[in-house]
Amino acid sequence: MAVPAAVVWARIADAGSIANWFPGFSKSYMVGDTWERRVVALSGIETSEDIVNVDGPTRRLQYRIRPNFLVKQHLATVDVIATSEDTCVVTYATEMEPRALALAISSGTRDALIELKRQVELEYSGTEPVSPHSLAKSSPYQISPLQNSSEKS
Amino acid sequence: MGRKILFITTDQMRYDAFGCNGGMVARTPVVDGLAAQGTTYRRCSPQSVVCMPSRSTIITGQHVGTHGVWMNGVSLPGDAPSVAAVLQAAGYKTALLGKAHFEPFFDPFGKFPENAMARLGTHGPHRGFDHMELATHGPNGSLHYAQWIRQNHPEAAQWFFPVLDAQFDVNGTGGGDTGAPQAHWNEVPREWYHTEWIADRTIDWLDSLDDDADWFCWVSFPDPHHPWDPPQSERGRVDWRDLDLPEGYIADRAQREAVLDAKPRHYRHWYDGDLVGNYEAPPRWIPNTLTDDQVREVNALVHVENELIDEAIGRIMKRVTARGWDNDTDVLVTTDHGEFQGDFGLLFKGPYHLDALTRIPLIWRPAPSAAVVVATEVIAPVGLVDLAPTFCAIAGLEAKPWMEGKRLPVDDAEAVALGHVRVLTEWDSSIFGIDMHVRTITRDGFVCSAYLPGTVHDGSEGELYDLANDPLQHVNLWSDTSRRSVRDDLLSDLWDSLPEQALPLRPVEAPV
Repeated sequence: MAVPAAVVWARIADAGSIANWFPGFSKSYMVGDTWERRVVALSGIETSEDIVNVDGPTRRLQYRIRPNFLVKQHLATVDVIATSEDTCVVTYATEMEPRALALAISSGTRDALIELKRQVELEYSGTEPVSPHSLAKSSPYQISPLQNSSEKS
Repeated sequence: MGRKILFITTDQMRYDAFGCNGGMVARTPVVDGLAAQGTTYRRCSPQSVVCMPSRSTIITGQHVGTHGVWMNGVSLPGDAPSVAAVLQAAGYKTALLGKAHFEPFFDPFGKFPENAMARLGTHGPHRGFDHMELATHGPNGSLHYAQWIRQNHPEAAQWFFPVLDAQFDVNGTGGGDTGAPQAHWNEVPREWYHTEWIADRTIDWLDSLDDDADWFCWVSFPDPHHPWDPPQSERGRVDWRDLDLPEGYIADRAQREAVLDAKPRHYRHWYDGDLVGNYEAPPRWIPNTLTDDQVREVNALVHVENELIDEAIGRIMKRVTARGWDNDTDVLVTTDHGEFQGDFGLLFKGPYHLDALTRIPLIWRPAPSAAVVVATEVIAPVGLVDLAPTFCAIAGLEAKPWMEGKRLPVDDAEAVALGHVRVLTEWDSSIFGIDMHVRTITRDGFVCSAYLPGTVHDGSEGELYDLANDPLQHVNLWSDTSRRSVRDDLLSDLWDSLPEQALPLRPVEAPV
């Protein structure tokens, strides 16, 4: 991402606000003064997660989805790695069972990285002030795809 | 007023499902009657033997390498070419009732519009369809049928056999009388079963149209795809104990295994439970445990499901007739791919381009008012890729440049004139660390498959079958030096004819 690592890390470390840049979530929040995060997917599925590691010096955040009817075990790790003063690489790795669900989770995290990159680069370029909410409107998960397919020629 | 198009698909149906194709068990008088009024294609092949790529070929009129839905779990982009959109733009009312599956079912984040519709209380428009009411094989998920049955008959949700197990893999648990995988007699009353629901929704949509409307209606039944769980009220139709074993099932174990050993190595690996190379087969079921009675029971359940489909088509045809449309309606019946159903001691599907999976029913009854003269049967190879240009031709439209097929021929002479010489089928999968890649050509009475390098194959293996002399495909001629020139000619044609695969491959977003 063409943004300093610290800028991206600030977004990641604000764990309760993940729904602002994760297109599959409509809502997210921290539960009181705990390390529990709740996220609501656009599908309506609500999930409780435990933030298990927020390491500022290494810019690493890790969380686990609490076992539920879909997920047996889970650990996600987001790393922000500076590659220069103004650029960084972000990795979003997931280990989980069942393995079949991992395919869908990886699709969601891939979309999240794309959206995060879009938002932070737009914001950092300073071309226009944008709120996270308005940015999320252009995510690929909005129901606007329910339009007519255009005829191609 | 133009010709209306009633397009009926089933899911995972073998060529011999219908009486008109030699089926000896299921009574299918409606489809047989349509075949008698039209033409039956004796060698129709899908361009993929799994759902999403095959269905994407139907709607786009493109080969798999072009539309890019290279395996289940890869979504067809919402703005992909669509023959429904072409017809819609020409003034047709358009609908898809039943199983779409252009987008993954497995959608925990709610990403895909097909899954979102029922949740949002909408029915499209989407992909050129004015109206969609969607279903799959049971009460789970977020499609319209699942929502309907859970809301109206919540007790029924537990009666269906779960397609997936707790690990979200294809369920290999045995059921029925014999312990066959995915065999189950379903307590659900027939009128709540998805086959009936789809017929009901189709009739309601047809009733919403003006008498003078032109319409394209894709009726897409999820059966006879597993789970094999028809309503138990229909159990008396076919008793599995009365069934002969299917011709493709080699009852003698030693002979069966010798035949498998002459095929590329992944056949025997799968049969012995050493390797499941794709998501579509249960990883915890071992084919060599399949018994004669289990084969009989699975076949009986499939026959029952096929009879219910035929009767549902009959109900729809009756409504079409009652509306005064029959004379102006083209009816096409096909499926997305086949099913082993016991052939070679195997069930389900995968990277195996044998007739069980790649020879499928296709029947076209042209609108009587169009006075199209068709042969009773067409022998020439055709494919699902040819449907989109056929729909255009029926509607009096030119095929679009992005369509890669040719309209269906009315007889074998026209097949030659149109260039229906060969049909191609592709397989690519890359899941859980196993890569498989197969390319197949069917031409001149031969089926030839080349296995590209992957996890199991080194690029040297293949299959060649002489369909005239070995219709059950027991003898793999790939390494027969006396057939080398035939093999090389077919391979040369295969590589020349396959459209270039669109790269990079689009991401897999779900297992199915």
